[in-house]
Amino acid sequence: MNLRAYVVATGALLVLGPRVAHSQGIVTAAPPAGDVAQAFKRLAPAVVRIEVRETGAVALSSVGSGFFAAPSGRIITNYHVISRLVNEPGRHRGRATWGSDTVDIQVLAVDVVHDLAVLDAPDAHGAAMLTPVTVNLLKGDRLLAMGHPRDLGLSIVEGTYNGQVEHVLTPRLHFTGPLNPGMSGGPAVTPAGALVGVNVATMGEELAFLVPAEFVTRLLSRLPATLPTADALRRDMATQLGQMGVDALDALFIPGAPTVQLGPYRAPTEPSAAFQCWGDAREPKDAAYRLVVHRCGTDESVFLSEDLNAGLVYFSHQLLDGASLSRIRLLTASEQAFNDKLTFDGTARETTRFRCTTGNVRTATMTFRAEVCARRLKSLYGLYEAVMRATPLGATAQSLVTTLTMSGVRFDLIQRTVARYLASITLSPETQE
Amino acid sequence: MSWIEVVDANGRVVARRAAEGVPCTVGSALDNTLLIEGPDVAPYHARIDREADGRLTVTVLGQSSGLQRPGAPELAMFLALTPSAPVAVGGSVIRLVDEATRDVSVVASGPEPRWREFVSRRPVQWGAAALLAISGAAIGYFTMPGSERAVNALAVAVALVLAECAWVGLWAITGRIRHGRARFGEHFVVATAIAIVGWAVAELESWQQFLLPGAGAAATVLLAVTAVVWALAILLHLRVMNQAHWQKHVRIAAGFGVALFVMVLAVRDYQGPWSSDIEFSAVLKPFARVWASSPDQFGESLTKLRGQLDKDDEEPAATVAEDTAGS
Repeated sequence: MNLRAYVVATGALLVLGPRVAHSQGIVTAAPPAGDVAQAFKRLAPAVVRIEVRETGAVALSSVGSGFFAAPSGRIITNYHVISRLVNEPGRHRGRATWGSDTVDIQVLAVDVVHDLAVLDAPDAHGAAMLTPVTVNLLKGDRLLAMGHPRDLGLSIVEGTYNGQVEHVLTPRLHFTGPLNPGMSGGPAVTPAGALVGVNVATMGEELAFLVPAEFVTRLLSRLPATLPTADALRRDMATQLGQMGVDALDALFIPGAPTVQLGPYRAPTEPSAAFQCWGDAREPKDAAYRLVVHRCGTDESVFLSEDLNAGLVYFSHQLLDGASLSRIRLLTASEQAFNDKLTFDGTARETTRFRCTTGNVRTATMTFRAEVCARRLKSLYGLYEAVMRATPLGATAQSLVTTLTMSGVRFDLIQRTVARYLASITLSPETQE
Repeated sequence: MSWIEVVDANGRVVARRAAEGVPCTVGSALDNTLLIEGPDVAPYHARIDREADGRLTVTVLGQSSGLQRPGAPELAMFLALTPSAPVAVGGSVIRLVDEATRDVSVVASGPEPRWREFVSRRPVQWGAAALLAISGAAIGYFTMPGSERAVNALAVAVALVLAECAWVGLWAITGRIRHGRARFGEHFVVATAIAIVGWAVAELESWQQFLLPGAGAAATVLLAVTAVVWALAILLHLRVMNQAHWQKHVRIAAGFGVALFVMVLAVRDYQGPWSSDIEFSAVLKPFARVWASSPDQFGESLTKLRGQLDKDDEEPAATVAEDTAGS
C-alpha cells in the first residue's frame, strides 16, 4: 500500500455515506455523567443533522452533522459532508434538520484545507448558537462531542483531549473518544459548553480528530456578502490549496535540509516537522539484491471529493543494493523498479490524464534519469498533481530510485520543488566514480 | 528451337522451358519444373513427356483435377501438346511455341539463388536454432536480476525459441497448403536472421530514447527502419515459399511495411482511454556521460508539459457550475 493509500485508509472521515457506512464498527460510549446530560440538554438545540440528496434518485448521498455558530447564526459543518453541493451542485440538494425544523441549505464559504464549510440557512430563525472560543486545553481535559452517529439520532459522547496531532501540515486536535460516521461537522465542546473544535475524522479504536475552533472563527470572519456560485467556491478552494502548497513546499529540500545516507547516496528525509519517515530493508523474492526503502510523508490528505484527495507531498527512496550483481543486471533491476506502475485516485471528470516528460539531469555530483508525470485537477483551477521519479546513471553496485509526489499544487511550485529535490540528492565523494 | 510456356489468366508468360527439357512436371509446388499457381492447381498437377514419335503429351498426376483444352468444358487425364493445341491447367495455359516470346517478362526458373541454397542446408538451420537459444540464454543469464540465473537463462531461451517456432510455423503451414512443402527449416533461418536485425534496430531505438528523449524526428526515422525490417521479413518468407512472382512479393512486402509505418505513426501518440495510472517508461543504459540539463533547467523545461495539460480536455468542470451551490 502506498503512503497516500495508507493515509486515506486510516484517516476515515466521519460523514455517513455509501462509501463509509460499513467501514467502522460502532464503539459504545460510556454512560454520560450528570453534567453531560445537562450539557446535552443545553447544546442540542444548536446541533443539526445535515443531509445531501441526489435529486434524480431522491436518495440520500450523505448524512452528517453541523451546528449554528455565533455571531452569524450560520451553520458550520465539514466540507466533506456537503462536498457534493460544491462539486455537483446541479444534481444535489442539501437540508438541515434540528428538532422539528427542516430548512434548505446553501454553501456560503469553504475552507477546504481545514475541511470546514459555512452553510446559509435563510429560513432558520431562533436556533441556539455555539460560540467558538480559544481555550487553553491540557492533555486529559474532558471534551464532549455531538452529532448524528450513523444517522441514529442526536447523540453526545465523552472523551479526552490529547493534544495537537503531530506530523500534519494542518493543525488537528487529537480527541480520544468514540466518534462515528455521521458525526462529521458536529461540535466538540468543553463540559461548560465552550466550542473547541469540529468533529472531522477517526481512525477507529476511539482515535479521533477535531478541527480547532480557531479555524471556524477565521472562516466566519471572511464570509462573502452574497451567496457565491459553486464555480466561485471552487476557485476559492483552489486558491486556498495553492497557498497551502506554497507554505508547505517552498521551504523543503533547501541546502542544509536533513538527509539520510542510503548506500553511497545522501537523500532528503524529514524535511519538516510535519513529515514522518519510515524505513524497511528486505530481499525481494527471487531477486539477487537487497532493497532498502525509505519513505516520508505527512499523515493526512486533503479531501476534495468522494473520488479525489490531495496529499500535497510525499516521497520515497528505494536503494537497490546489488553488490553481487553485474552492472547490467543492476541496471535491469533499476529499470524494473523505475517502471513500476503507480495508481492514483480521481475520475475523468475531475482530472486530466497523466502526461509525462523525460530528461537527463546533471547535479553537482551525478547525472539522473528523471521522468515527471503530471495531470491537471480540472475543477481546481491552476492546480496540478505531479510525480517525479529519478535514478542516477552509471550506478555500479548500488542504485537509487527516488519518487516525489505532489498533489493539489501550483505548477510553478512543482517546477521549483522538482529542481530542489534533485539537487538535494548527492553522491558521497568517497564513493563517487 | 521450341519452347513450352505457361501463360497466366492475364496473358502473361510466367514460366518457360525448352521443349528439349522434357520430361518435366507442372504444379504449384516449388520443385516443379514449371510453376503454376491457382486454386485449381494441385501441388504436382501433371507431367509433360515426349512420346516415341516425338510428340509432347501432358498427363495428369495424383490428386489433380484434370486437364482441358482452353475453352472446352471436358476434363481429360491425358492430352497432346502441340503448337495448335495448348492445354489449360486451372486458369493458366501451357502452350508449345516455336520461338520464345520476347516482349514479356518471364520468371526465371534457373538454379536456386545462393541465399536460398544457403538456408536450405541442415547445418545452417540447426545453427540458427542454436544461435537463437544461446542468445536467449545469454540474455537471461547476464541481464536479468533474479537470483536463479540458470532458470532465467533457460526460461528466456525456451521462450525465444517457442515464439520463433510459432511465427515460423505459420509460414510453414501456409507453404504446405499453397505449395505442397512446409520448408520449416528455411523459414527458421530467415526468421532468426530477421530477429537479430530486429534486435539491433530495437537497441538503436532504446539508445535513441536514452540519449535523445523526446526527439520525435529520430524516433520516426527508427520507426521507418523497423517497418523496412518487417517488410524484408515478409519478403524473404514469401521467397522461401515460392520463387515465382518476384514483383508480386515485393509489392506485398512493401505494402505491409508502409501500412505498418503509417499505422504505428498514427497511433503513436494515442494515449488510450482515461486512466489514473502512471506508466513510467524509463530506458536506462550503463552509461553516465550523456547530455543533461541542470536541475533548474529541467524544472523550467516542464513548462511544455504544463502547456499540454492545459490543452487536455478543455471542457473544465467550470462549465457545470454557474448554479449556486446547494440551490
